Amino acid sequence: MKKSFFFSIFSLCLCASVVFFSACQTKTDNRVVLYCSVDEVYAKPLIKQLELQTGLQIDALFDTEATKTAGLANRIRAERARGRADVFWSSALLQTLLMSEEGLLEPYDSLNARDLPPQFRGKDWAGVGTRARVLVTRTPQSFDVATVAHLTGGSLKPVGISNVQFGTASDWATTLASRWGTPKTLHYFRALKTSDVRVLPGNGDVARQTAQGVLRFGVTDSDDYLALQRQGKSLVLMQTDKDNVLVPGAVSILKNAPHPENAKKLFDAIVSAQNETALTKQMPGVFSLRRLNQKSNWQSGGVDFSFLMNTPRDNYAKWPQTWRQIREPLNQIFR
Amino acid sequence: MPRRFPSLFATGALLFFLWAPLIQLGARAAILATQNPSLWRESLFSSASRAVWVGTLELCILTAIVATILGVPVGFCLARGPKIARFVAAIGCALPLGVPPVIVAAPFVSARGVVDFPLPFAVWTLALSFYPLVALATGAAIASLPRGEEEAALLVSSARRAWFGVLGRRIWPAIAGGAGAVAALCAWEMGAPDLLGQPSFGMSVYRALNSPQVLAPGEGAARAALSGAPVPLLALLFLLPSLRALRSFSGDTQGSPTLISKFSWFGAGAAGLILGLSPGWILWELVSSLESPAATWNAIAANDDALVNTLLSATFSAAILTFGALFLLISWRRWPAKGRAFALAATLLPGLVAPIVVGVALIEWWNRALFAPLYDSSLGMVIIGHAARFFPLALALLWAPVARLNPDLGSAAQNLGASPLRALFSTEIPLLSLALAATFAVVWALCAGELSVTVLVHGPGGDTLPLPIFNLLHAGLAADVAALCLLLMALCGAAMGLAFGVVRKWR
Repeated sequence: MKKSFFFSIFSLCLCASVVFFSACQTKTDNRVVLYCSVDEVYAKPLIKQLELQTGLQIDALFDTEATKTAGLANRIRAERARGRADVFWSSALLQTLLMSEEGLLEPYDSLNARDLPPQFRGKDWAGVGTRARVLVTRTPQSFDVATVAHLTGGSLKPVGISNVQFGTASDWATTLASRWGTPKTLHYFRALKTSDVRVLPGNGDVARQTAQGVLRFGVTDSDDYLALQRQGKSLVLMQTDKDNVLVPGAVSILKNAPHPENAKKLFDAIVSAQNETALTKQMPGVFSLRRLNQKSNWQSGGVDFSFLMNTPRDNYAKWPQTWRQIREPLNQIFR
Repeated sequence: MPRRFPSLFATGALLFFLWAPLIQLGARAAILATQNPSLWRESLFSSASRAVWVGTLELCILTAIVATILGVPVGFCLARGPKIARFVAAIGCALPLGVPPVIVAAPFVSARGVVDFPLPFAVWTLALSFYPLVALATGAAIASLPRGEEEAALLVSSARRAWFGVLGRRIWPAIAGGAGAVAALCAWEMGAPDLLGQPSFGMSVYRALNSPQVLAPGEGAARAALSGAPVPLLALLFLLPSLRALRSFSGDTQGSPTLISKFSWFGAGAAGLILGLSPGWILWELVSSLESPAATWNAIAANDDALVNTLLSATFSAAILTFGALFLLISWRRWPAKGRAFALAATLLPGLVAPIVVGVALIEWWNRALFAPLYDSSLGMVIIGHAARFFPLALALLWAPVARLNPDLGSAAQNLGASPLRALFSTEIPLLSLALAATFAVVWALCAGELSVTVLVHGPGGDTLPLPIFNLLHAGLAADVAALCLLLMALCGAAMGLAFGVVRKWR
């Protein structure tokens, strides 16, 4: 009697679990798994639109703000043996390039990406919009801070940046290193550290603390600056004429993707000019990669970003090697 | 012995579920540390680690002190206040427990001074979240004071001397226990300190785990386990007073509410002020952050999938945990005392491990082809994470009510011809209905607001509400955060109301 009671309870729990987990696991033919490091608040409406456009059921996994992009990239690395993601849509480029070098991406030549400028396409990735690193302050300054390179002066502190190991900040450091060379870049970050730079969890935190007056200057992303502007916060964009950096987003298909055909369909939809336009509208502070030379492209959120039009187009192929040279020294500087 | 086989099997399966991931991760960390002894120094004694540990300790100790200051008057109010004050205090205690600290932190994120002085803000946030533990422990201790002892103490000395002298000795363990539990919870907390810029152990492990160093597979996890090794000891240290308090409750101290000591209206006013300051203030801050109804609705509609996932995962997890714990506790009743104590200790101990390390261990264990259907499902791992994190708690919550139940009732029903299942449902579950409802409601609220494990283990399409709230807070979208926080609070309140409503109707 007692035995049958225990077994009946156990069987009941087991059946309920099987039913529930079967319901959880979506086996539909139109499923595709997207790992996405674009801000959830902006990406979600776009993903819903993409679902309508493609007829796919997109199950998205987002990164937290605290571990931007690097968190998802590490997850993909950890799942290398048994991947579950199909497509990786990154808000920054560096991690995609690193994964490409590590052989984690599937080559794919999308027709929809052929109208992108050649430097924003790789054999296994394609660019999707770009953001810019911008210098912001709370009140217009009476003196001239021409570029981020001038921030190391102790008289300008407190200065805030986000963690250079994660997200667009790592792309920013890599770009500076590829332009200035590794020794000068490391010297710059050491000087920033010496002048008590505040390293914050995210670019949103940098923008917010600058708007609050806690920081005198902040290096943040164009979208984070505009997000604060929209909230009516007092934040001034410094129209720097040198050392400006663009951080393109990227999309790629992962090797051994469980749903390869659906992954291609989603890749095509994300890199399309139509989606890029939707992204720039949905997420002010993101600019089209297809119209970098048009002045209208640099008007976003009611702010003129045209000072970024002449930003040098970097050689992204060198980024992985450059990052490997600076990653550990940067880690030592900011630990 | 064969009669005990199903019970042994279920206990073994549970212990395997709770311990296997931790043992695997621990073994990997031990091997790594043996191969590279400098890792110990790096993980535990580097200057960055020291700052994290000092920050975590400061947070634990100061929060416990502030929570005690807030909780003791409310506890007195709960036990001896006028009926209406008791009711208000009970609601006021339930509300913060149902709200994740990350939500309580929301109104402070943009506060002036939070950047320069994160510690006071983090302490206040966590004290507002956890003070009900001190209040409930204090209230329970006062309610269980032997009536005769209290009368005698008040007869021979002034009320003040009686309470601080004779009766205090019975209440202090409970207060210390509540404070210890608060400190232990602070040791594990991740989201709220991070938002306010206070160094904490949980977030440092999370960042280290996700740092963009290309490590050998599993090395990041092993490093996280090494960094987290001292947390169970720290939590146990803080929980020791709780164990002492539990012992004093389980003694012969059941008493009826005394007619001698009444909580004055002045005291009730003080407790009311504290309650108004905590849940009332949080509610006010959130409501005042809302924008137009349309914007609020849009924020909720944009996260409709997270809402559905929260409802599904929390309900399923709470049901599994509540009935799983009940099933085990009932099955252990016929075990010898030593076996029962061993099983209980072995089930409770994993609860001491930091949730972030539990999350890492679960990923390492469950991410294999054998478990692919579960691991790849959107909510499967979230529910596994809830079960691994909160099973010890569900067991602890139901332990005392089940222990107090007379086992002869079930046997008598079976002797009269009822099947074991019928005996359970007709005699024992009705007697436990209030405890079951309370456990279900508390566990539901904790699962709905769980962040530390969920952030690591959730699958694609498996977001629960705390995840978008955590991300939106970082993005500084206060109105959207407020809309989702209020929704989560309403859900927790509804779960509690529903659980108790069902019990009332059933009874």
